[in-house]
Amino acid sequence: MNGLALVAAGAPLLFAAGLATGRLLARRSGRDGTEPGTPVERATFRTLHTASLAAPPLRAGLTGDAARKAVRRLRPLFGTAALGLTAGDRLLAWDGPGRHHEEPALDRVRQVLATGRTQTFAVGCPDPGCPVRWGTAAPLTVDQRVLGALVVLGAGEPAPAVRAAEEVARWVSVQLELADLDRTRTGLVEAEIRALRAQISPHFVYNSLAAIASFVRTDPERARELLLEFADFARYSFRRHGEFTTLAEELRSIEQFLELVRARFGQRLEVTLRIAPEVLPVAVPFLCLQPLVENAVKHGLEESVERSRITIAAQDEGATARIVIEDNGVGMEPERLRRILNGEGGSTAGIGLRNVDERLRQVYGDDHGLVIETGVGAGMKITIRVPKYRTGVHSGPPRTAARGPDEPWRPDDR
Amino acid sequence: MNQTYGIVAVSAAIVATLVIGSTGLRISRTTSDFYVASRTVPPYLNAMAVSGEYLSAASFLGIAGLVAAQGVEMLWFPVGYAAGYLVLLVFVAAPLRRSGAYTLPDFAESRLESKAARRVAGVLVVGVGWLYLLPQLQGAGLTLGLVTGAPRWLGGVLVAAVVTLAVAAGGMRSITFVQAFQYCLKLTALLVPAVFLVIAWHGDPHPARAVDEPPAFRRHTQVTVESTVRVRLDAPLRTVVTGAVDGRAHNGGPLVLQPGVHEIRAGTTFRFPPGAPVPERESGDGRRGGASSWAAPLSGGKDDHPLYTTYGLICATFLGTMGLPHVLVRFYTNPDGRAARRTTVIVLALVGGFYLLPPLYGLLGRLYAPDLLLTGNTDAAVLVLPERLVGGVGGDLLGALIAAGACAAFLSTASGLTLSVAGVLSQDVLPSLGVRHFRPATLPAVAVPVTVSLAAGNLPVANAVGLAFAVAASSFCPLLVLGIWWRGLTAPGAVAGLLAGGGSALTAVALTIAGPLADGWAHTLLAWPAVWSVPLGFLTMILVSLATRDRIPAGTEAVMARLHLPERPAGRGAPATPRSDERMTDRRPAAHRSRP
Amino acid sequence: MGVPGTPRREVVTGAPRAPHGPARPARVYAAEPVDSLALRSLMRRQLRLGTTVFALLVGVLGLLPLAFTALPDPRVRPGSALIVWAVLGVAVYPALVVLGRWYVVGAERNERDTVDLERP
Repeated sequence: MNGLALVAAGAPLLFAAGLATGRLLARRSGRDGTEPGTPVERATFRTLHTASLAAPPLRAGLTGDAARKAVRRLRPLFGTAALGLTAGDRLLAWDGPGRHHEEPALDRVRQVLATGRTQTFAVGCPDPGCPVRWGTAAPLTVDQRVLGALVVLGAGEPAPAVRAAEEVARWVSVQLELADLDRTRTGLVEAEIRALRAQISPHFVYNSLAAIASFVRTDPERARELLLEFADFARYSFRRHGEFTTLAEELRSIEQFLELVRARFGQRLEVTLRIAPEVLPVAVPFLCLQPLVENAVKHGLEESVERSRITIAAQDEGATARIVIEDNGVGMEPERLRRILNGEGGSTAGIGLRNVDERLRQVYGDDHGLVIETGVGAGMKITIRVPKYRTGVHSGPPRTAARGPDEPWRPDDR
Repeated sequence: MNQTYGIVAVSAAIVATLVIGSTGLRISRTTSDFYVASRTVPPYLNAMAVSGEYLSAASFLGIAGLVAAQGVEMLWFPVGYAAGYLVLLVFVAAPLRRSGAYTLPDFAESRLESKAARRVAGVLVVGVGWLYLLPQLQGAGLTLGLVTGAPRWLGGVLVAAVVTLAVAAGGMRSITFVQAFQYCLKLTALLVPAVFLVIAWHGDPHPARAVDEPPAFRRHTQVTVESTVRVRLDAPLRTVVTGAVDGRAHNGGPLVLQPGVHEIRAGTTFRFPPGAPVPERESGDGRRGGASSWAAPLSGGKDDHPLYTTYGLICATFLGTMGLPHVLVRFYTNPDGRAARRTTVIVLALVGGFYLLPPLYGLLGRLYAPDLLLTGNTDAAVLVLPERLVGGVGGDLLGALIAAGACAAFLSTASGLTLSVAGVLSQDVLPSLGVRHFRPATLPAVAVPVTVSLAAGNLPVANAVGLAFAVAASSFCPLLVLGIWWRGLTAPGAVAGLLAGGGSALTAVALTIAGPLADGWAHTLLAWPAVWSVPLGFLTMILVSLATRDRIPAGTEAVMARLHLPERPAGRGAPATPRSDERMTDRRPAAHRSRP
Repeated sequence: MGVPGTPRREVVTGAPRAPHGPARPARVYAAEPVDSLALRSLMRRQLRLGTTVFALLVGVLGLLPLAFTALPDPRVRPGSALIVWAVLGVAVYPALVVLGRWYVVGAERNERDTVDLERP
């Protein structure tokens, strides 16, 4: 019964720990947590805390949603009446009273956009209950371009608040710059995929079309089919968007590819697919198998005269899918392959392998790079392990092409 | 029961499972044959796999046993097990598939963007998995014990070993086919004997009325009581006893037991004449066996507060199904949300169809194996019926078939659970082991429930499953329902709700199993926690989320879009080529058939 | 590999990347602009359909235990026990399937309507 006693003792402990954690987590986000130290330390802590709260939404770029959240969290920093954020001269979010001063404030924002300088202005209001006496608009600058402005309206003495507004605007600018960097990083990945496509296309397109052409007289029906295969294949490979796809889609495109290769090499190529249907919906990086299969074909056919055998297998391994591509071709000297994978290959040979390896490591971590078994004349066996789930990895094509309300605003949109 | 047939049947079931699992009916073709990629698992096959994994020892043995012992009230178990899928269908199925999550921790992380939520969900998955593994191992011990005569603990350990080896060696690769096969085996193993049993029942020259009370022995019956029990008699009972009754030793002499309560020492053997009423068993904690109220609901069943108990059961099973880790991973195999929905409806039909059978076995068990009521071994009712009712070689063969089905029941559920628990252990709880160390994680995944089941002795199989459902319902039901339908859910809210709901249910379960409270409302509340722990989980999650509104994940809107908007058919996203999608799918088979 | 005469293979992997942070680049939410109006309306309709089915389930099955208490004692009227057996043992399951099927039809219709809305 010892085990039972343990369970009985452990469960309430777990429960208590849970409550404590929940409360801790809840309090961490509250504003009145116990803070240590001197008043200065407390003030610093509070400022940093507020800033850290506002940062995550801004990392999504200058969107309406992000602006709303950021403004709500930044206003306590100023203790002023109202705070607003604009993208260009479009008001994204406003927190606090004095919304009726929006138009004059936006006039000032236009000046800020034109000059890149902070504008401070007095506000006269006929409404005696309105707390707003002055306003200031500070530029949000990314890459020397003014994207928008931070608008502060308040009562009392403007001078210190103006300084603060400038500092906060600079801080927001840094966050936006980081957001831009994120976008650039994604852009880089897209560029790599584009490079891959560029690498596939020339030989393959030429060879395929030549093979198809050879059938036009002898077997027009076959030629027609191959042409459709080719079109499907091209449509997939040259699709414009999406970093990920499903294993099913990737395999479909590989089948089309192999069909086209067989048109050229006929019976010399023997391909076996052994796919567990459970893993077909797994999301994989776009074009992560095709370069490997192309590599196998090249090793098997173009450099040897024997019959070439290629096996593509995908297995279910619980939380991961294991994909193996094996050929009986000429193989490769391990040292040379190692250099290629480490980017020291120099030549363009094997750049597909390296690219796939790098992208897999980037997305899933170093544990998930290519594992290649090879030797000169020993064929090659490439193994990939893809987790069935990884944060941020989704195979679906992007949603509506129509621009949603929360799409980031960029200067070149207008 | 004929041991040779039984051993052969059980071995055959194990071998067939391992063979299908390891060699696999995987799609293995050369390219020109057909397009592999379009061959995703169709809904009916996946539904069979889900059902196969779901119908556990509790469904196969436990329900009939409970019905035999406690009557019609226990029919709520299968009803709840099936209705849980309807709740899963309407609130969870399609969005969960679209989330792309493979496990519950995956879902928590993708929805809440929080590692903490992921970890807490992981711990609870392990807890639910272990709780659910317990009755599977006990069912295994029971079945193998009956079939081979081995001691009970050995059966559980043996099955644990088989499952560990199969899972660790990667023997469950083509798991969809294995589980679909298991469903067919289980259905056949109950359906075919049921036909013969009903025919035999009809052919019985003295068919008992189904709801006759109290049950009586139909022929000379010898019963050996394995553990000390107390029985209640309403009328004098004439019997032959070898052993100790009320502290007095008897040695094969006749004895007339007077009305009242008697204590029977373990190892005592009775010989009852035909027509003798079955003594009503009284459990140690004072609960009545319920023989006098067998056919009617709520007239005094096994608990003090039958209406509350029924609602506790309904609450746990209706809402708990969506939180069972081994069920959810199967939904990943669906190609999209629509298929997930259709799969769930088919599961409803398959599971519902199966559940028509166990009550019949329970009914017949009460009529033809009443001695089990005295020994308390009612979970064995399904297994012994063919021998009692059909007899001869036919009875032995049918009994062997049932044994094979029971074996499939605990093998499939246990392997599915072990896979899920080991996956979570290796990924979230012991991440230091790394991704490639899935195999060592199998060991603790199985070892813990084996140890507990050896220590805990006899929990009624279906009851322990009910506790697992209660924990799943109080933790994962709020997480899934709120996560899918409410934008306001935050990570602190989810964590607090998971811990409050799941933690309190786990505590209640632990107290119930350890058993410091024997009686009264406190016991009932702890034994059926779902009624209060599910609202507690929901409430905590909502209130803490409202209090931490500024921590709503930034990507909530995008996640909601992914969960709810239907997937586009592949390829439609590409604007450049105006080719229709229909042709892509229609053209293929024709084109390839035309080629030799 | 085991074939005699075949040259030996060696396992090759790339060098680990320089350790710079988590594997996954930050998410870019804006990559998937969403028609939030359509989404909200779809969610509302699906939720309404789901809760309707759930309410039916709870309303019918959830009230059964109470209804059964109102049945006459089976020792007096054995027929009442048969009703319980028939309802819980048999009739519930087809009813569940019908409800489920009905939900699927409704949910798919809701989704079709949304997709039609998206692509005029």
